[in-house]
Amino acid sequence: MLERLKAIIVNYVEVKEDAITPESRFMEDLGFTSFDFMSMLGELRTSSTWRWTSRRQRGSAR
Amino acid sequence: MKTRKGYKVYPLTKAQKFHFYYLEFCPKKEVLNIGTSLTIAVELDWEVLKQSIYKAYERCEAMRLRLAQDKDGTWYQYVVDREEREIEFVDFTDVSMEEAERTMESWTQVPFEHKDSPLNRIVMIRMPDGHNGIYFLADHLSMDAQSLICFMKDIIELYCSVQYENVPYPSDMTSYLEQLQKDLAYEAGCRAKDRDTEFFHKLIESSEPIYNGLDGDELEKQRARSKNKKLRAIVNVSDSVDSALDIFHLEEEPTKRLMEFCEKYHVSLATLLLMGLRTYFQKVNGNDDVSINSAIARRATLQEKKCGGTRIHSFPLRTILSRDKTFLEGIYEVRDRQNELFRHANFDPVEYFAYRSKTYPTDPGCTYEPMSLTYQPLTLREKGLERLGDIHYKTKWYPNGATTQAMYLTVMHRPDDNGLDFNFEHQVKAVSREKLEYLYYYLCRIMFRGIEDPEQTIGEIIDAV
Repeated sequence: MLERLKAIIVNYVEVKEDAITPESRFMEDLGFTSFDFMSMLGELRTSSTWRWTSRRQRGSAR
Repeated sequence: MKTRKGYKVYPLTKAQKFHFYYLEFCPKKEVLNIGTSLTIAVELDWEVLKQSIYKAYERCEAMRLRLAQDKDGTWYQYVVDREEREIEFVDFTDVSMEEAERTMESWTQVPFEHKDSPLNRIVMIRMPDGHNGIYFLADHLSMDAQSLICFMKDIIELYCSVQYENVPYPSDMTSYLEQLQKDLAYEAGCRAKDRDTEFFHKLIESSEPIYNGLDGDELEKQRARSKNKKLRAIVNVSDSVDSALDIFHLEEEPTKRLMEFCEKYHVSLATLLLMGLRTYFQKVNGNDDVSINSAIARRATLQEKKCGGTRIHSFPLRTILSRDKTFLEGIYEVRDRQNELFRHANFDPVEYFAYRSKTYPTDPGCTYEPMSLTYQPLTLREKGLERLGDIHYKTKWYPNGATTQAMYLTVMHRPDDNGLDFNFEHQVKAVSREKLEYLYYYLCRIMFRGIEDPEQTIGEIIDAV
């Protein structure tokens, strides 16, 4: 699942996949803006079967 | 129409059609112009710069965009293979800075021909103050601020990669036409569009917004004039689209305090600015319910960030915050509303306003929003230039002299010291500079009071400033 997420993340920010770890913070470490993050959530929602909680949607991004 | 001059044509996107929508009501067609200059304090090799500009055109399909109209009056777009115009050069060293800038301002007020014609202009410039660089003019139908900055960055990177050692060749731009086809596919109909439609219809139907003016009494005055105590929207523009650009500068140190607050509480500066602005309107009008138009750049993926074109969609951001909520609670609510708009930002803004007008019929030209806000985080600070050491450079935006809105605020970082510039573009007959001074003063007071102690209530901040 992490590998799938990494493949999606690199479509949004110029980082290498190996630089992404489970501890990476979307905004502080990977350079996501809030718009990038919400757009990626939208893509994940339409393309995956992941279950979403309201805490995740508030996007403290872990 | 399938082809034009041998090139395949495509329909316009909703973002492009939005510009045609307000252009129709504006007698000054230059309202679509975006003019800017970038100059640096070094001698330039003009031939290398010229070739860099041509290379940048080659790498950017959107810069080679043309428009065409069929016999029914419908507009289409296509991309030509190459830029063939001679790149102009103007030497301003024998005139004053004021005259040079007046000249560039006058260039910004010449509208582009839309049919089968370039939608941008680049001039290499030598300035009287020893700075050298480029003036760049684009039609908003083909570019927005993000894509303009991206293109100018590409020119800089290409130039530096040729001129200086150890400056890498820039990564490719992405295809405008590929992104265009994705956008058109959304617009043709899909699940995402159905979800966005459902979201905005529900949002609009929830309740009618209310206008909040700069002075606080505009709605009451209009209610008295029209003898309608239930009126909630007014016409806030004047009968003249003539505009002025008033800029207020916030220094590096206070800007840093705002940014540190944003980093600490995980909110963007746009969120803080919106909170500051809506609290001002709440203070002056006495309404908890405040709406401000918020521009969304819609550039999330790398493809979207580097494809050029014009992608901005603007929607009202409405919050209803009682005085007993804390500043921080208010900020998080603004952030949540922003995030909702971001998730559904591909929706057609013209359709949004049409549905709202249908749901709450008002007189033509009435609005609930006193202003629009854009926050522009990108600067032209560039890897290539940083490697050259401490080179001073300047950027300047030029007014096109017209606006269809009463007031539009663009907040941008200054590239040299990272302070903030608050650029208020306004109809001169609708909003005076004096009113903007008050707005700016209170905006700063509210934001700095709020970040000092975000557990204060909104009411306490309103009463204290």
